[in-house]
Amino acid sequence: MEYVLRTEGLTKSYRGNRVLNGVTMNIRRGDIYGFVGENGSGKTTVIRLITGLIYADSGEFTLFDTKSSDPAILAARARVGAIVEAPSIYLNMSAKENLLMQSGILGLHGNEERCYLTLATVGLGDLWGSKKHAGDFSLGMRQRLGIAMALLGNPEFIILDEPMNGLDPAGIVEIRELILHLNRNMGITFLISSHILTELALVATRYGIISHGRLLQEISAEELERVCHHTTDIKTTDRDALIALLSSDFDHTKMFLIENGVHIESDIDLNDVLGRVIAAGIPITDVNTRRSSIEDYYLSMIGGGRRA
Amino acid sequence: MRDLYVTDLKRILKDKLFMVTCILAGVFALITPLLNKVLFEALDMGELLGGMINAKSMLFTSLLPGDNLGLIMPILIAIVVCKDFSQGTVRNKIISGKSRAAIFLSHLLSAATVICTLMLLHALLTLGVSLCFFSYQTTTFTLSDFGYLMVSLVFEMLVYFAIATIVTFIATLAKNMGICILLYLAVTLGLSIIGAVFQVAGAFLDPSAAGYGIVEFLNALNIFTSSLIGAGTTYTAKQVLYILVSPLAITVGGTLLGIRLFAHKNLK
Repeated sequence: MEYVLRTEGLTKSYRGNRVLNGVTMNIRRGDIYGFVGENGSGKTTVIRLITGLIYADSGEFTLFDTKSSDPAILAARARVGAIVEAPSIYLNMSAKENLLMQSGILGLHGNEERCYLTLATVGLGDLWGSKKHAGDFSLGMRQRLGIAMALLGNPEFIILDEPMNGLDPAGIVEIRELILHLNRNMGITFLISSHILTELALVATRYGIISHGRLLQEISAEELERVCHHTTDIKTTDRDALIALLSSDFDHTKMFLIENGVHIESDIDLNDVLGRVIAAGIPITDVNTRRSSIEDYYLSMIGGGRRA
Repeated sequence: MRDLYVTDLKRILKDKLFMVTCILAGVFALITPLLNKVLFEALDMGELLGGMINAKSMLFTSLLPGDNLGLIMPILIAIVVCKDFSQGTVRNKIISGKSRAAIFLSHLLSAATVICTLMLLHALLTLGVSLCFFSYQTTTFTLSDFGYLMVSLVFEMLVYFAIATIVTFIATLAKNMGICILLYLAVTLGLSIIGAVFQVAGAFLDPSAAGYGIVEFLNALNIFTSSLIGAGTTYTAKQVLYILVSPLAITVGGTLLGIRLFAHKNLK
């Protein structure tokens, strides 16, 4: 298995307040790694550590097989593109000038064609000749310009911290399609932190769930699909009879009492169950079935705490 | 490193504050000699014009770090350097795998390039305008005077390189424009005031008095008064040593310390 990033026991404190507590995570080449956690859980701190903006108190990470303590980490970092918190753009410059500045930093001075193509890739090709300053752009345009700057160096690994922030619905769709395009067609690995879990679920192939500075779990999208089961609420005027009937099918850990009925936390054959209830003469007043989502799973992982 | 330097230079040249600085440089160069002429004539002190007040004195006054452009420009350039941190664009460099040392040096060299070039152009413009009103000096301008002028300008540029180091050091480590301006003003005005006090003390102290040598020594080392540069017609070896030691110590020490501190700094 080829890993783009591996972290081992990363810890970080600010003024005595521990914000990361031994984070160990693994991102494989080709992953779109959804990094999920509540506000202040440590997502951005992990990203800052990887991108070299801050230093860990202890622990280390390996980026493209280069340990963070190795001076060659700078060369490894040159293979990464990132947006950390907000796009780092020159507000007093146009989109074209921003990309030319970034091309200068990357040692690609004057490569206007590449700059134009990158700008076009994020849907801002129309701005190439515009003198409008980035400071006058909408949040969505700034976000896309930031992604263009991150893409300019042809990175193999892109880190996006809350990339959907400030985007309108159309912008969210565009960025999502761009991420999928870059991942599928160019093989770029992504680490994406986001609060919008339902949106993340549309692109992520693996997830890392972090809470209070600890990585609680890494799970693939397929595994998550398996554990996200259906739940069913069946309401009746004779709850005791309903419980007596269903208790032979479901153990008590899967079945909960609710007002005028039962809540079943398991995939069931609804037709079969309802057929037997009706055959037993138990009156049904309401049936409600729902599939648990990544949000439910996340909330169950962090102990029903705050919604991400 | 070259890539970063070119990028940082472009960033400074693109900033509105650079345009403001250029305008101020032109305005100060035009107004200062004119005001001197008008004021001294209005105060019936016209006999000083061409004597104490001449193009040479105008030139070296225009280069004083505690006066006019010498005070304002480093602050404006410090703000531009600081913007790389406050706008977060420094992240692009770090994420691209540039070393902290290269980033610091690039900030320093681009700030020094702009500060030294603008101060030099400002001084030469001041000289040109002054020559419209006054003679260069009371005596005939010789080849030796030209050599002295050139050497003096080189010394002044070393002083401004040291000031660029202070500017970069403060801007990089403060990362906040307000704190950056306050710190630079505190350093500049503090040392300018100390220099002025020493100059007055030197004028009143008997040269044979015990503390005279110390006052003279400390004043000579103070780059914010740089009283030795341009004050005479030749330089002694002792003066050259005094003139060089402070700017070089500040430049080398500030750069090494700045790189070391920046290398361990956590960034937003």
